[in-house]
Amino acid sequence: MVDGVYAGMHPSVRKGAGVEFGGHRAYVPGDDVRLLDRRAMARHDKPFVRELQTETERALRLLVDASGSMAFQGSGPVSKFDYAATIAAALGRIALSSGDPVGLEFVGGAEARSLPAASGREAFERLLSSLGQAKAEGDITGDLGAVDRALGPVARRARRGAVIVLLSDLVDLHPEAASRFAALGTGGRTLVVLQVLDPDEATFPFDGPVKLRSVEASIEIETDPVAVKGAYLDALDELREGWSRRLLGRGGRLITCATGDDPIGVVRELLRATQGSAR
Amino acid sequence: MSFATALGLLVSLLVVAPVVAHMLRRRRTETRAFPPARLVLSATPVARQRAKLEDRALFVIRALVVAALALLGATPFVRCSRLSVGRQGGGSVAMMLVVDDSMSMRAKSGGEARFARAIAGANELLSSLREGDAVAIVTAGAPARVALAATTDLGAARAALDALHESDRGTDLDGAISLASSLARSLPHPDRRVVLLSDLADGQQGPALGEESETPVWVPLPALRERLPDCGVVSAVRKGATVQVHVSCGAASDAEGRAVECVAEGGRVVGRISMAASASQELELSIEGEAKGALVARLTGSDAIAADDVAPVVAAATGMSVGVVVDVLQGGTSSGGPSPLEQAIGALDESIAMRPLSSVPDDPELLASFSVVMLDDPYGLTPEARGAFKTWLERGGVALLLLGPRAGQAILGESFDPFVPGPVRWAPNPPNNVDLASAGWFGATSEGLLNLAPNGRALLDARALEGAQPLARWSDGLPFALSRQVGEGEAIVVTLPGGLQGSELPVRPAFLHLVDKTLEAGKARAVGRRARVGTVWPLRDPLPIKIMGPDGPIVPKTEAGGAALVAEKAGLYLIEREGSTEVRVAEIDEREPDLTPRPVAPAASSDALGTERASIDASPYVAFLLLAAIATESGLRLWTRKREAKA
Repeated sequence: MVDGVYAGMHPSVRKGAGVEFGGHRAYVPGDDVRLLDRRAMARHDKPFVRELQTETERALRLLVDASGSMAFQGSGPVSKFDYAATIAAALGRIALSSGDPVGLEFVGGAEARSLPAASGREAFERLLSSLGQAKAEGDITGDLGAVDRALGPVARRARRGAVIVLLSDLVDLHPEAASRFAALGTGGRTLVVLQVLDPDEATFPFDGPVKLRSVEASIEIETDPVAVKGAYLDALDELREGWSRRLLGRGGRLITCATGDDPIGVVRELLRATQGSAR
Repeated sequence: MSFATALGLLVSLLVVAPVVAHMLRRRRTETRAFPPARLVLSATPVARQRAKLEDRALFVIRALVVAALALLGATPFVRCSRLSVGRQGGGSVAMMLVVDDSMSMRAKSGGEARFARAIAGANELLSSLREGDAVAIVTAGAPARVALAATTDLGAARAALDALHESDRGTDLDGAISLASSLARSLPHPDRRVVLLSDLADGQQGPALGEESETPVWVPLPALRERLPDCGVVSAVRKGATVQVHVSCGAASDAEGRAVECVAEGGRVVGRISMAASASQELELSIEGEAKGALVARLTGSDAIAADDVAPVVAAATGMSVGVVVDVLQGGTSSGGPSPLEQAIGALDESIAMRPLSSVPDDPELLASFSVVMLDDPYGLTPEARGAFKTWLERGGVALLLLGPRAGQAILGESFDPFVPGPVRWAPNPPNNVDLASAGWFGATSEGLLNLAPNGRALLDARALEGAQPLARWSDGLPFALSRQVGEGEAIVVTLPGGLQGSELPVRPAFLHLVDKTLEAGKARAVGRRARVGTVWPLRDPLPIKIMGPDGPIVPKTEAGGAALVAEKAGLYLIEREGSTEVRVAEIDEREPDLTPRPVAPAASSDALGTERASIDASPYVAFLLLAAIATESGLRLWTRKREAKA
C-alpha cells in the first residue's frame, strides 16, 4: 500500500522554520511575530506571516482514537480501529521512509502504548507493535482528561512543522476535543483529522423499527430509521462542520472515510491534505 | 390414532403455525450497537403505533384466513345443535313428521314458543334429508290431520310447514301417530319413522308414546317437555244474573291464589270468585249490578299460556233436543224398557231432552225443534219426510240412521234419500267382522266391531258412497257406516239396526261411541251453541257475507264437501248471513291446560333414529369468508404501500 502511495505522491520538500520562502498565510495567535510580513500586511491590511521551507525534519504525530466506539464493526469489512491503525501504519511508513520521525499517542483504549517520535527501521516495528497491541475499549464520553492525556505530550514535544494526524470517529469525543485539538495547530504544525466511520454509520441503512445502543455511553434509542434518517445524517454533518470549522481556523483539514473505502485512496487524500496545509 | 384425529391435529397445526410466526415477527425490537446513537432521534411512538396498527390488522386478517381454511378443512366435522334424521345403512328414509299445533304448544320453553321450536326442528330435519327421502306432515292438534301426504318433494314439505300455524286445538297424539303410521305404510322405503315434535301434553294417561306404534317413533326436543303451570277457562255460560265458569288446570296447585273475574265492556269487573285448589272446577259468579253487552271471563294471575285465561261469556242455550224413532217391537228390549238407543243417549248426557217419536217426522216445523234425530230401522222416507229432512239437514241438523230388515221392505215411493241415494236392500249372512283398519273413526272402541253376530245387513247402492265419507267397512269391503254432509248438517248411516235382535252392536262400546259422536256433531252444529276448537262448521248456501273470528275476518275453506268454517282459535265467531248474525263459540279442550308430558318409550329416544347434533356443510359460506379476508388483506397492503410511498 505504501509503495503505491509513494509513486509520485510524497514530496521531497519539507516545510518548517528555514530560509527559503514558502508563501504567505494569515497570522494566527501563537505565530512567531518575526515572521510577520510587513509588506503583505500593508497591501491587504491584515497580518500575514511568511512561511519558509525548512530543511529540518518534519515529524509525524499520530493520534489514534482507541475508545470503545472504534471497536465497532457494522457492515464494513473491519472495525474502525483496525482501519484507523492500518492508515496510521501506512502514514508512519511513508514518513519513516522519508526520514521523518513518527510518534504515536492513543486516545483511550487498553494496552495502548504511546511512542515518542523516532526514526529508523526499528521505529516502524515499534509502531506496528504498538498499534497491534492496543485494544479499542473504554468509555471516554465526556472524559476530556482522556483527550488531554493524548494531546498533552504532542503539544509539548511536537516541533514546528510537525504534522499531527488524529484518526477517530469523533462521535464519542468530548465536545471540547475539537477546540483542544485545534489548539495544537500553532507553531507551524499541520493538523489533519481523519474521521473513520463504519458504512452503517455513514449511510444509516436500517429499515424497520430498531433499538440503537451506543457503545460507550449508556444510550438506547428506539426509533423508526426511515423517519429519522435525514435528521441523523444532518447531525453527522453538523458534527463534521464543527470540527472542520475549528480546523480550518488553524489551517487544518477534516477528511471523512468509511471502513469500506479503499485505504490507498484515503492515504493519498491524507498526504495531499498534509502537503496542502503545509504550503 | 384415527384419520380424523390426525386430520384434526394437522388443521390445528395450520392454525397455530401462523400465530407463532406472527408472534415471532412481533418479538421485541432488535437492539443493535451503534456508536453514534446519540445523534439519532427517538421516534418510538410513531413507529410502534404504526407497526401495531398494521400488524394487528394483518394479524387479524391472517388469523381469519387460517381459521377459515381450517374450517373449510374441518367442515365435515363441524357440528351444532340441529336435528338430523339417522339412517340405517345409509339408505333412503321415509320420515313422517308429526307437528303438534295444539294450544299447549303456545307455552314458551327457554324463551321460545314451543310451536316455533317444533317448526324450526322440522325445518332442520328437512334440511338433513336427501334426494329420494320421503316426507309427510301430520298435525297433532285434535283431530289429527294430514297437512302433507307422503312426497319426495322437499320444497312442497317446506311450503307445507310454512303454512302451519298455532291453534287452540286439543291434542291428539295417538291419532296423529296412527295417521302418520298409516301414511308410512304405503311407502316403499324400508327405513321409516314417525318423528313427533310435541310437548307430549295431551292430558291422557295412556301408555308411553312410541310403545305400540308399528312404525318406529322418535321423540326429539326434550326441552319442549317441561311441566309448566297453567289454567284455562273452558267455558263461561250466563244464566240470568249468574255466570257458570268451567276452569281446568294442569294441577290443583296451579289454581292456588287465583280467581275468576267477569268483566264487562270498558274493563269493569262485575263479578269475581276465588278458585279452589282443584284441577277442574265449575264456578258460579254472581253478576253485580247491571251488565249489558259482551262479557268475558278471565283468570287473575299469570301462567304458561295467556291465551286460555280469557273466554267469552255466552248465553245459556236451551237444552239440546233429540228425536228418536224406535219401533218398540223391533228395537226395544225384551224386558220392555227403553231401547238400547235411548239408553245410550240417556247414559251419555242426562241433560239432553229426548223425545221418542212414533213415526218418521215429515213436518218441517216438528223437525226444526230437534238438534239431532235418530232413526232406528225405519221402512223408508216418504217424499214429504225426505223433503223435510233435506231442509232440516241443510240448516244444520244431525241425523243417525240405523238400517235394519225394514230397509228392504220399503214400499213404492219410499227411499232413504237424502241419507243414502238409491235403493237399499237387506241381505242375510253378512260377514261377522268389520275391517278394523278401516274403522279409525271408532277409535279405541273399534275392536268392539269384531264378532258382531249380525242376522243380516243393509246393502247400499253403489252411488251411496258418492260425496260420503266411509267411517268403517265390513271385512268384505262393503260400507259398514258412512257419513254424509248435507248443507250444514250431517247424516250418519249404519248398516245394522239398533235393536238387539239384529246384532250385538248395541251392547258394544262402539255403539256408545257412535251415539256420542252423533250427539257431539249435533251440539257443534246447533245454532248459537258451543263447540270444541277444531270443529268444522259446514256452511250452507247462501254463504255468509262476513265471518268474524277471535282474531279478525275469516275466509271459509272450500273443500270437496263444500264451504266450511274451521274454528282454529277459541272465542266467538260471528257469521253474518241474510241480514242476521249467528253466534258460535269455540271452546278449548279441558285437558289442554294440563302441560304434563306423556312418558316416552326408551326406544323413541334412540340415537339410531336421529340426533340433535348434526354435521353441517358450511363450506360455501366459509369459502366466501376466505375470499373476503384475502381481499381485505390485499387492500390493506395496497393502502399501506401507498401511504409509505407518500411518506
